[in-house]
Amino acid sequence: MDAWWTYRPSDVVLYSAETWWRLVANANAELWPAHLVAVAVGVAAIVASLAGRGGVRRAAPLAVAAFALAWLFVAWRFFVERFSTINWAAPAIGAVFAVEAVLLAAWALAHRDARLRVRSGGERAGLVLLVLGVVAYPVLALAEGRSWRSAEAFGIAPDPTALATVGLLLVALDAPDGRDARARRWAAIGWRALLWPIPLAWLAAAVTLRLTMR
Amino acid sequence: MPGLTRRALIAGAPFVPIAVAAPTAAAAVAAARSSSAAPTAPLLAKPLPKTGEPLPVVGLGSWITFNVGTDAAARAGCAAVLKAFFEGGGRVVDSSPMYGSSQAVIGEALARIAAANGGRQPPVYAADKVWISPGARGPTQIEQSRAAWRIGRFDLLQVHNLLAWEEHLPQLLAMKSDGRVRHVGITTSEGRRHREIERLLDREPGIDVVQVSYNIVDRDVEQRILPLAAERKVGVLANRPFRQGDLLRELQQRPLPGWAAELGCTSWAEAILKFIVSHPAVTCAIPATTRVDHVRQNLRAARPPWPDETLRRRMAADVARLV
Repeated sequence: MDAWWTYRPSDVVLYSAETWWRLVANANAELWPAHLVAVAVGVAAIVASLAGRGGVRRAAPLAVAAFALAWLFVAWRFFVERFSTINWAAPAIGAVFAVEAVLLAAWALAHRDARLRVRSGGERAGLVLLVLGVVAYPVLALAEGRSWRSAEAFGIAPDPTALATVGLLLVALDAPDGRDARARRWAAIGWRALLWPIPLAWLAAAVTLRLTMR
Repeated sequence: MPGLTRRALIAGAPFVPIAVAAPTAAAAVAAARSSSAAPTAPLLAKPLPKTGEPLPVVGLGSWITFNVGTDAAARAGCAAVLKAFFEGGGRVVDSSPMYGSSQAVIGEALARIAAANGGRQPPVYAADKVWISPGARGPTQIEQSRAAWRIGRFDLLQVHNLLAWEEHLPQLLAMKSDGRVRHVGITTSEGRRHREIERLLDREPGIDVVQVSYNIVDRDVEQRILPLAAERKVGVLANRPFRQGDLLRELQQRPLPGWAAELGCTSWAEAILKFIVSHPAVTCAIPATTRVDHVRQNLRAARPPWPDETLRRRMAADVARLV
């Protein structure tokens, strides 16, 4: 794109708000009842996070692996199959979502005994984000005056999926895995560098799109 | 209204309607049958300077408005907009591969309209763009665009935002020589790359049309590009007549000034379009809309009276105070 620095976000949004919400509503109708499975996965992650006595063994890799499947589902069923009908960049975004799915799966494989826990302030914040993404996000539709048919659900739409994932990573990332504290710290930093950029970048883009769409 | 003589209202010497395009007989009958009160007065058409072909001064853009994907209900809505556009005497429809599914939606709408008219194609002046780099990929993209529109050939192909123009422009000019396109153009928007546009207008005699952003507040092109286009006999398509709706949203809160009624305008959209198309160098404005009533409202701006230069200055000054 020539003179790209002169373009505002509104110059590169190809569709209207009405078109976007109709796309979401049509996706919901076509993909139902996959929402039930996705929400069940998210609720299971929340419940496992709240389990006492050090948490549920292997809850972290199981939850993260399930979230990896959610990212893959969104990559294909939302971006490639649907969003691409109004945005020629959608397949590329879908590919990025698929990369995140692979990274999440890799983390799950590398932390097979990890547990979910909510002790520190960061982990509590993660739990809040998890609940917002899985449970509260669909209510936004009604709060914004839209039909519930265009509600965005975790595992189906990208925004709540990214939000809930950031929450899960806050809860799961520092789970003890048997190594010494220093090694765990460096491993956590490394995994953060890999796993966080994509969901955070999407959330930033989503906010921009939400503010820019007309 | 003091100062508004009939001469002032019907515009001065530089602005002379060359032709007045009446809707086709079928369109006039369809309009008469329409439940809406569609006006049947003829539209003003201005000639493309190099060829003399008259084009109605209000066309239809498709940025965002026609990008509705595979949504069947939304596509039907777009088809209704196009149908009303043609019934009202419109011809110029502008799109681009950049606009997502707009080309395919236009193509489907054109096919629907033709099917409803016993196979007779609507009188569309198909204006599209090439938007790809490197330029070697241009011909493939153009063919994909043509297939999306479901037409035999484009009337106008433009280099979108001058992307890879060094390669695309010679290709388009070669296509024009071969008869695979009728007219060739270049585009920009929102004031970008105006110097390059001027250089190309100055040195490329094969360019038939230049598309630029022009409206009652964005008037930068009046300084150099519009006079140069007139001098080089290049037609002008005006995009972003309403700043993608922002200008109308700002003005809707304000009552129409007195000159609006004298110009026969019942809306800000009509007033702004009359300002744009009354510039001697402008051939056609291309507002985009998803609404049939707005299409009809826009087309009313292509009917007399129009402001002369004195009134145009007053209109611009009045609006500048409001926004």
